[in-house]
Amino acid sequence: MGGLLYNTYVSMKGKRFVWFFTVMTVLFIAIRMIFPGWRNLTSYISYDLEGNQLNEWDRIIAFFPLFMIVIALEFTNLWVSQCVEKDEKNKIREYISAMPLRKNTYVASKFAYIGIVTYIFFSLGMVWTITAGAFSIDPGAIREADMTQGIMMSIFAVSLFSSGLELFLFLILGKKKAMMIKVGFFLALGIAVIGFLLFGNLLVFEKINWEAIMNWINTHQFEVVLIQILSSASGLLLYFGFYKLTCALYKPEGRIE
Amino acid sequence: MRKTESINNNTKIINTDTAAKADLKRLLIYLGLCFGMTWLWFFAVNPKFTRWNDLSRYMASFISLGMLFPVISHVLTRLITKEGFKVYGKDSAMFGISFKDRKWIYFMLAILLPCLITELGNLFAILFCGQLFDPGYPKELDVDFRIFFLQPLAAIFTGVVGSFAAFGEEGGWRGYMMPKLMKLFGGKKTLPLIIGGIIWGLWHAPLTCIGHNFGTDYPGFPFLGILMMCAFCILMGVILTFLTELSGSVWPAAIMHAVTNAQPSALIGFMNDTGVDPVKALWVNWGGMMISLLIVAAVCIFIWRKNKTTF
Repeated sequence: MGGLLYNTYVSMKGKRFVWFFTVMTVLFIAIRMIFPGWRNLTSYISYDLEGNQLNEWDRIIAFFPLFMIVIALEFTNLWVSQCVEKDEKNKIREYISAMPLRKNTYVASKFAYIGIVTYIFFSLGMVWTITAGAFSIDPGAIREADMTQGIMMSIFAVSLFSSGLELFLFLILGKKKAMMIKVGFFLALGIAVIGFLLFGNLLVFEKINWEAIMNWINTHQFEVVLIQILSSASGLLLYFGFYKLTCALYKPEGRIE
Repeated sequence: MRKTESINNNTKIINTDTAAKADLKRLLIYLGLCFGMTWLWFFAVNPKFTRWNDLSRYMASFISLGMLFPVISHVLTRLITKEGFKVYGKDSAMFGISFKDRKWIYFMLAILLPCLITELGNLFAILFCGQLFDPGYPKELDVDFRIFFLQPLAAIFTGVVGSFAAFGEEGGWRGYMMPKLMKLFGGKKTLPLIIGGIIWGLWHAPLTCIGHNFGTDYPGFPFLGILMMCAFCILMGVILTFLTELSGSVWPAAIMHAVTNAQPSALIGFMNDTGVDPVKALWVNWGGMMISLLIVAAVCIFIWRKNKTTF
């Protein structure tokens, strides 16, 4: 298992990415510590219409965690397909099937690898938001950090779910078919959205009572916390479900034709 | 024949002596790096020694990132001493995970024990000082009281998912310091556990000095606080080392540490220390937690003794 994880790490050029994210994190921490929000950077000070002072530097910095989280999620998404694609290309699966390994070890190694990557990115996301928020004085920037931290767990739960589904498709159907399904799905989704924007009744958005939703959130603390826990936990459970399903359907000698 | 045996014994003693010296040297390198980097971080990030309660939420979390230095020191020490990076098994960094031989039990314990310890600790605190229990406290805080019953679940979840900071500590203390200490003491555990706990408690000293664990308004501040922290770390260290030794991985310890930090207690929502003497409240809370830890640590030692003969 350890060997398979290392193999995936090497084939994904993991070392390069470890360095990239480490350097970015250290640089970000250093920049934030050297230039905190309370440092008098006059060129970054502006005022809103009501005359309140805004710290643009803090606001720019507050975008960094969100930006990096998006990059991290993109990489995870890319690696899911790449780790299967590279194995297909290098005939790793055939090689492994000849080794005295349990049937599910290969599947477990892929799911474990993506799980570890997601965990590391979630942890880095926490470090980035904490760093952004710690040196900010602008209330807007702090709100931004709060929001990023608040939604991060749900974002990564969704990412874990989509990674699980993709791994399932790639391992069971092979790269070509899985890619066709993936591209087909997103194409259909894109067409549906564009179609709705062009011909749909956009007035439905106006009918949404945001105030009532916000009131419900404020007055139903228990339900909100429960939803937060359950939605994030369901991401983990579904990921595990996809793993089990892949194990059940996986053919070690190759993909199902 | 006897001469050869005697030479062999002497060689063995010399080898053990050299190995012990090498282990001691490695441990000192680790401790130097760990204390040096962490304390430097604490002082660099909070040069004015702002009190913990006066720090913003994010700044407090940022200072807490110092928790990552034990594991960084572990990795650096292994690089310096060229010990290698085996992730699982004997003499490894213990960063790997195995569920074989019912080792998943230790992961379950890591999730459940913090709930038991904190709930029991709070119960003892209420027993010592009934004034602390206030069923109307959630209403006073304008919080739905049912949230407190979700608190253990939320703490478990956030603890497990966000265990990276706790892994930062446990990867160093349980992954490097404790095995080295145990080796130095010839496999005996009692003394290494006490020494390890004291070292771990002292490492927290800069935070205790700004009132992280016990505040600043108590007689004997901050020295008494440092002593209290050392005592807490000794007992907590017993349980964490027990989980690490028996699972062969630092992850159960990291999870337990993270869940404990997240305070998985429902009772805490009904504990109101307004009107209670702050020093009394501190003693009662700390005492309750210590008794609870003592009970769990005693059970761990009992199981440990049954499993391992070297205790």
